[in-house]
Amino acid sequence: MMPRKAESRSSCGRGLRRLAAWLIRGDAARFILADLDDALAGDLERGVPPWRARLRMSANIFASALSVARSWQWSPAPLFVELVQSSRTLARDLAFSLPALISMTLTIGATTAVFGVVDAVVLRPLPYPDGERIRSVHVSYAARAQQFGLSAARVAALAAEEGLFTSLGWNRDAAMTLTGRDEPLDLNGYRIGPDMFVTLGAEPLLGGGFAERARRGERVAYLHEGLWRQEFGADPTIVGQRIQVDDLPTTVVGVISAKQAFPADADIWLPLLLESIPDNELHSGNMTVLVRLAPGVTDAELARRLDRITENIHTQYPGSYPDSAMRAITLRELVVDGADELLVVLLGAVTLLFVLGSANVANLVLVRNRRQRVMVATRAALGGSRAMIVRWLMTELVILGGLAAIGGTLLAANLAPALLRLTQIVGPGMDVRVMDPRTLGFAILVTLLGSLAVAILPALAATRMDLSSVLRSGGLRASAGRRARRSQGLLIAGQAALGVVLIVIATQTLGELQRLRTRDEGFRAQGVLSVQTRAPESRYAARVQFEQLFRTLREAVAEMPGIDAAGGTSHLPIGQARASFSISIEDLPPDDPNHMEAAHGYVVLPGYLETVQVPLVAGRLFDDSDTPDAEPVAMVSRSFAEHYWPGESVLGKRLKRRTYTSPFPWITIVGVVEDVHNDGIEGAPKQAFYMPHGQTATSFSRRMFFVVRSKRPLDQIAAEVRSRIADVDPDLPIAEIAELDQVLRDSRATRRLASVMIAVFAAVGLTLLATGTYGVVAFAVAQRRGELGLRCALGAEGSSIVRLVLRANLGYLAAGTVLGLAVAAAISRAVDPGVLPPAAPAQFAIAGALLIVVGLASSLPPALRASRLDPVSSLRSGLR
Amino acid sequence: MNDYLGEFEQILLFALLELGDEAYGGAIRQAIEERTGRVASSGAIYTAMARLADRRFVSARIGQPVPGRAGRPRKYYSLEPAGARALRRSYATIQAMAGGLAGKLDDAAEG
Repeated sequence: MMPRKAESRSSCGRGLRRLAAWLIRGDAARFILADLDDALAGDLERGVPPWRARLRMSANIFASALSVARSWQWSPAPLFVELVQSSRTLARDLAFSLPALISMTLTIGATTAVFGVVDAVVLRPLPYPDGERIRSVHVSYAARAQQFGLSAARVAALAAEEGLFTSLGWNRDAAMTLTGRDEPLDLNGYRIGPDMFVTLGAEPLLGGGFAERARRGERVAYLHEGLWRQEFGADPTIVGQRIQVDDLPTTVVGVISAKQAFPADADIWLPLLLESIPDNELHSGNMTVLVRLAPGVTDAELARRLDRITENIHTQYPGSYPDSAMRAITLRELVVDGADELLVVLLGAVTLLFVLGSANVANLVLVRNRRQRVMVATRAALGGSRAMIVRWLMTELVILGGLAAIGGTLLAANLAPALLRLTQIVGPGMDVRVMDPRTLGFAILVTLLGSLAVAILPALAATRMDLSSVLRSGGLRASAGRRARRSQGLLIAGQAALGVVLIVIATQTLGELQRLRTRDEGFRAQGVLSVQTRAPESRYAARVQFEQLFRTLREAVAEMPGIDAAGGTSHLPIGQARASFSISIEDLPPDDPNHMEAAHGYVVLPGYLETVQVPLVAGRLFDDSDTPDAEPVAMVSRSFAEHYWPGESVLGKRLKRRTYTSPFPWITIVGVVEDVHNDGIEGAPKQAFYMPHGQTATSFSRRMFFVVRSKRPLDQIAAEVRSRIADVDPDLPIAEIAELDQVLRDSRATRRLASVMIAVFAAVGLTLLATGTYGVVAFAVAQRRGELGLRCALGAEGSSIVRLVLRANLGYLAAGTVLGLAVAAAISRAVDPGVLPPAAPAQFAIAGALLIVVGLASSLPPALRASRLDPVSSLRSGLR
Repeated sequence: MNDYLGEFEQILLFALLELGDEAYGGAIRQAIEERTGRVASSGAIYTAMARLADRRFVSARIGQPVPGRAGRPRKYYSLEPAGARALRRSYATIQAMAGGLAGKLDDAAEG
């Protein structure tokens, strides 16, 4: 016990001693240090608890350093002295330091947050060697803006090219289940070409050799680092082990690091050989293709070769790919997918914020320097060099900047991940890292740039003055030129305009959020539980088998006590996943644009629409008579019916799913239901149609969301559903047990996040306006002290002085507000009303009024101070 | 007026009077804390002593290096006759002014 204690004492002393040695300098330091030691030793001897002794030692050190500094007998650490002195001045002058600190913190925080996102998405090199040589090839159609994946036929044609690329890879998502364990686990799986990771240049964390073994036709897998850690306890011997994926033995050949995983959301990768794709899937375009350009190949060359491949395809399969073209983009473009426009907007906004914020602080500094002219002049008169004086002025900004940098970085650490979520970009290695050297370095750079920009001019101006006149006049004689006043007015106007725009947009988005919360979604989510399961290929190979399974499961669930309704669907009415089908409408000429249309399709079990309570408008719902052998039927949404057959009854009309080659039958419409807001939660309802599971073959037929409506607590129901499913087949994977209500709320999360961010920016804008106006008015009052004193002396009332000061900037404030309203109106008109509804006049009125109130309120403190001026002293100092 | 003593300086000189030959920084600090409850920093004691030494009220000598202090010596101070006279004068001044006023002072401070 004793030795350990002694050790901790001596080690605690060492750190403090080093601090003392740094703080206390000069000839006498050694004596003082010795005394400090004595004091600590004495305390410990007298039985003072070590933590208290340490505390007393620290207090002693700082107090000693200050005494030494104040006595000026030795040369103490000069930086420390200046820091202490400046901190005291700042703490006394909160009217200056607080607005300056707030402005700087917000500016640094916002700028750094946006940099963090831009760095993650655009600047930071891709986590692959020479990643800028990787291209992704996709298909686009003349008629649609969307990009499509490549069909196997196209990939094969591309693979046959020579000299164009050094390696070629492809991937396609495929739901997989980790089985052979207590609880089957649903995975985000991808089937990839053998060379996909070779193309990327990714080095597995463990293992390797996927390409060779995959090409030999072996069932091998790469695991994502996250899956390996969570499910396999980061087992170092995982390579070579056999796991069960979809009940089939699969050999793990390696682990891919989270940084290099592609696509970033994958859990596991299994091979997909082109030869293994059946003929009837040869033309479905669903593969993401990556190539690594051969040395010397340019993008123009690649584009030419892709055009030639397209021509060949068109000749080889006439009529199957109308008006299509193959285009190449970089890997970054593939991942970012247009969201970079948002980044440009963010960058622009933040640059503006930076300029306004810096101008704000510069203004505050000018005001302050004016008040401190006497002090500066005295120092200069006593022989202080210009450099010393600049340093003295700079020290305060260094302190403010340091505090602001810390606060701003903390702000950015919270803001940046939210911003990245807003952009919805998920890419390899694209995570926000605020606490890394690049971002921290940027924060420091912004701080330094801002502080320098803010300080250097006022500081130089302060040292260039005519000393004798300043000293004689008491420092307040000089008045700012007209140009300076105008530029300050413009600052106020600019900030007012920015504030108005931000407030209008904030009220719009918040209003829209409120509207969405109360909107009728077209279905009732409350009291509905959804449970997702999947029929593994290994045990339910044939269609009849899993159709039978799902029918049995639905009946088993529907029989449970306390259940009001039960059904199943391929896709929930909300959330990310939706299926879009190409369809043809009977009776429409082939050249009618509607002939080649797409609509959302749902493959459902009987009871689904009743469970989520989508009302029937006409015709009938599905029932157990819609079997595979019966006539194929469909239900359509109200907007679907009105779009294709406006004003007509649609019952009995026919549509069919359209592909290039396969012979889908015509389907008869037997019912119409209300619209559901199925395209995200924000847009207008998309045209949708519903097909019975028994009659519909799709790539996702093996997956089913069972939905159950009950008044009983849903967690009880969840447990029962689970056990009912296990009764039927204990090895079925159960994923995503969710309350539909929660899914609905989650689907609004992004929108809510956007609203909150905009509200934050609006608050930042208002704060900048407040501090900026305050600075300008305070400056004006300081300049006009003599004049205001004269007015007081001549009998002006305090209230009239307040009015006079307030009125001075009202013009700029009003001009800025009007400009802001105009800009906000223009934005409101330009933005797609589906994204942001047009702003109401009331919103403009509120924004304008708020701006004027904030502007006037922040002018009030200096105005009140002006009204309380002592006429004699201000006259004496101001009018000489 | 060159023998004016501030309060802290008076305290320091009384401490020297009490400690005699053993008056080094740490001991002075402890003496002040024990008698008054006030904590003086080592640096404050050192700088004040240096000022008093300039005015020849105290003298300083450097002791032998003490083991366990990284070879750093202590500085010992002793009260010089001039310092003692200055202390006597200022203490007498205070006493003269304070005579018979203690009760009144308490009343004023409480009220």
